[in-house]
Amino acid sequence: MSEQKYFYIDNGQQVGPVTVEELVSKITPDTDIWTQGMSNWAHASTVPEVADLLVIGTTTIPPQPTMPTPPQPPVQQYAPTSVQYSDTTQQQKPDNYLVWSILATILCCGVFSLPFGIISIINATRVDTEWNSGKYDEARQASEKAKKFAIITAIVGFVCNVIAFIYQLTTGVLSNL
Amino acid sequence: MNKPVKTTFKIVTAIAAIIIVAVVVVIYRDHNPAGSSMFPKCVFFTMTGYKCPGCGTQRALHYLLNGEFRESFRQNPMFHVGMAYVVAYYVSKSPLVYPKYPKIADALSSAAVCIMWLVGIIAYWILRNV
Repeated sequence: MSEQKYFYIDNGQQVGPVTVEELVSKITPDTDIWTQGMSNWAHASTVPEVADLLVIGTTTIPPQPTMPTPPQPPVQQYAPTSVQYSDTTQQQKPDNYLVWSILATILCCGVFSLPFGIISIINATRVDTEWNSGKYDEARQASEKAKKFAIITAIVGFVCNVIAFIYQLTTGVLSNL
Repeated sequence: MNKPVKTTFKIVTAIAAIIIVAVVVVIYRDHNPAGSSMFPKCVFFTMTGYKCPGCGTQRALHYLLNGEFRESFRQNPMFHVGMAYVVAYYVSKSPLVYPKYPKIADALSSAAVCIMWLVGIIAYWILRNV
């Protein structure tokens, strides 16, 4: 969520991507902004998550003389270029969490956690193959699954070992009494 | 507004992690898990009598911390191979290496390497029990 990037119109020019903090320091409530998920450009004051931050900003910073707003080109003109940007952000291959699957499998090994470790590694494999065949959404889903199952492997392995260890300690203590 | 809280959380987590690692290192350096009932035993081995791919990791760590590399490797080579991979992966992802040689990290996380690990772990599991 915090990595949401924004674009805004400054003197008729599209500026961005910028973080929300950068955005609110540069714009007025009347500035046109756009971010992924919005169908079109809109005044900053109409976008709740930005408007909230702008209110805080205007109470602490003395109001600045409003610049005469230059004539804006048709708004639809910007949307396609921004959509293109949102595609290029997806050009980074998602993490496959193979390191964590391996660590969880070797360190937290147990008969109950190992199947989850194998599912995690299978999804790690899918991240690469789906990505290389251009299926970016599938690659990202596989990445999420690899992460989820690596965590499940670790938790199941850890819990099994803790229960077994407590059992081992108590039976050891009892037999020594 | 969230940033100071996040930084504090990160520092606390880092300190906790360092303390836990230090305690684990001291315990495993000074005590041999073999023949001790104070270390967790493998659930799979206890139940079936067969070794799992992780069996021997605690002993391997003990010998490694005492500088007995050959004995450590003998206990569970998969532990060493796994650690070598983890270190290699993070070095290849580090800011020193990744911008210059991004292909190393790509190769290490490629589908071929994933399948190698999958097949390797299962094959090792079977072979060490034969």
